[in-house]
Amino acid sequence: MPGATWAWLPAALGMFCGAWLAVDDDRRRSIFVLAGMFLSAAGVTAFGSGLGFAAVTLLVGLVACVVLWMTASGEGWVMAPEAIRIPSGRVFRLLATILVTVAAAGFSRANLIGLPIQPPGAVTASMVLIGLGVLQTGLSEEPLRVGLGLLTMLAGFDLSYSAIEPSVAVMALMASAEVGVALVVSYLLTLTSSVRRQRGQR
Amino acid sequence: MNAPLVIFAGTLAFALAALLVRHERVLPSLLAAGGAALLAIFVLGVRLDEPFGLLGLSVKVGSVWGILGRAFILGDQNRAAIGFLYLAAAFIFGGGWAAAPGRYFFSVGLVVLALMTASLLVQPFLFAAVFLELAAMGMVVILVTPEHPAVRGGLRLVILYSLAMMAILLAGWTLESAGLTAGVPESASTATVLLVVGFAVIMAVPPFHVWLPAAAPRANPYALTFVIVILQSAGLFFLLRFLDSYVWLRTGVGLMGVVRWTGAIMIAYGGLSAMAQRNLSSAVAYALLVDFGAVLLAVSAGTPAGYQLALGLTGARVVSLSVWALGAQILDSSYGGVTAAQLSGAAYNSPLPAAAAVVGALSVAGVPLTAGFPGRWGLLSALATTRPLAGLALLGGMLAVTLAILRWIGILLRAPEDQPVPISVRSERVLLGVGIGLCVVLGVFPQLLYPWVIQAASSLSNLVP
Repeated sequence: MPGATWAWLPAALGMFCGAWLAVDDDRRRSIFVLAGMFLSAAGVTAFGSGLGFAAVTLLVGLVACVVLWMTASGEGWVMAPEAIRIPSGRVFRLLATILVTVAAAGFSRANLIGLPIQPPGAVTASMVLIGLGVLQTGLSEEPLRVGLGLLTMLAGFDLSYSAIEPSVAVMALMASAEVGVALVVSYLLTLTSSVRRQRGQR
Repeated sequence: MNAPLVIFAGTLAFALAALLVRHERVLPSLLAAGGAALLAIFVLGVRLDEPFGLLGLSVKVGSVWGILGRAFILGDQNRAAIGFLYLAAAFIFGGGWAAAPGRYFFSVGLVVLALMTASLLVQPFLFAAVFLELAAMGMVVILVTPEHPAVRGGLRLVILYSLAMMAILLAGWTLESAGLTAGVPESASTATVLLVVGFAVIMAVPPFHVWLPAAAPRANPYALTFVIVILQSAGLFFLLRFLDSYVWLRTGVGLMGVVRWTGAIMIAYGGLSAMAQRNLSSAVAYALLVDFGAVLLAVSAGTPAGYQLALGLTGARVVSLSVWALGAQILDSSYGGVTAAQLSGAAYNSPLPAAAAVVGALSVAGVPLTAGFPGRWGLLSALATTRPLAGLALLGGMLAVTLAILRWIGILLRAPEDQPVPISVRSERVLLGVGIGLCVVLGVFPQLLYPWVIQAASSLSNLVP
């Protein structure tokens, strides 16, 4: 595809957004960055699978962001404290993020599964986003943070899978999974907040 | 008119009806159970692609529903499995009114059932992985309620099923790109590794079982039972379809050995962990790992009898776990939990719920004269001659779980310390009595359950020729 090397630009931006999500504690900023990540993923998809698929990626991502935004605006913008003892200091997360990014980028160069993905940078962005998503889901048990991690992971997987299975049905199914994650996270966020409020009243 | 559309529309219609009457106690349960039973009859009995007379009209029900370039197909290869899921759900919904599993249990449960059905109907069947993930999301709403906020378990379930979906979809692509054979060894081994990871999550193989012990102590036992029965049954059908479709997978790459060892390790781990629990739900959650391990051992035999035993064990689990859950839930609501301290002496004030919890748990353990025993006995008999070590592991696991339950019987029979709590009402007592009776009757007369459950295997023409 002409100008496909430009795909590195949104790929790099997407990886940066994924890394930011793993480190930031502010819900409002995180949801904005998530939207940025979906915009970047759509940019990479546009180079590989075409504008139609890119538009769907962006639309679904934005719907997920809106769902999370509406819930977070009702429940408060500060991440709830972790109920269990997971090392979750910002420096620790930053170091873990750097490690995972480097490892995933190295893994993508080997392309062990043999993904025939164009444009350049798509495999790297995909692997890094999956890695960062897994990292986020492992580092926290706070519903929104886990949700952001899951959406990062699914966005990364979407980059690869929409290239190797470019069909409308697959796009629709993957989109429903992403919106489903946003809805489930909203449900859990609302529920944990109300349970916490009830306990506080007692 | 086509059958898949009728199934989806019917299920969603009953889900909507159950949602509208969600504030009632018994009606949603009746609607969901009746609807699921009706649809099971339709799935198992409808004549496909041939005209037949109905109320004086000639009706033809097609087997295929095409949508967005993909197809949902009901045929001999999947109707027994779908019928099984609907009957299992009808059984669980039927007793649900006594367990108060949450206002959305019945409606969301039916939606989840539709998603599970979609996973069994969709072609190419690899896309079942996505439907399984969507179903897992629905399960979170069932598992995590304001009364039982088991958030950690729910989150872990979604994370793990997302990983499983990705692994299975990538495995499917690798298999297709390698030409559906083991002709390209590198691709075959990559696909096998991805499949092993995907199915390890779906079959709750440690360490991918973490959602279960996290959810068990805080979730409503009855809701947990629905989640386990439906997810595990659909997961097993999905695994069997994979094995049925890819001959080389079950014959060429040593997969069955891996499955056997995994099953044996699960049994040992589950049995030992069950003995160490101080919460009844957690103990049964680990007892279930033994049960899942037994299913894997049956599958690893790689014989028609092994596959049939795996389905038989899955069928018995529906009854065992439902009876346990009903008793445990009534105990939970009466005593504010099911820890050892809370249940001390509970058998004197709540004899029937305590008996149901014990009989159901013993059946999960596979103790003689319970519904879980015939399948375990069949498996032990088969393993004794072919794989004695695996047989010993299974026997050890069963003994460990039985010991754990004996300990709980001791706790329930301790001298009561507190004031008596209200005992269950008459309708609940009838339901508990029927459940206990069913567990024992199916243990004594296994031919009432096993023959028709293992019929589900007959549709897998390559596994059960």
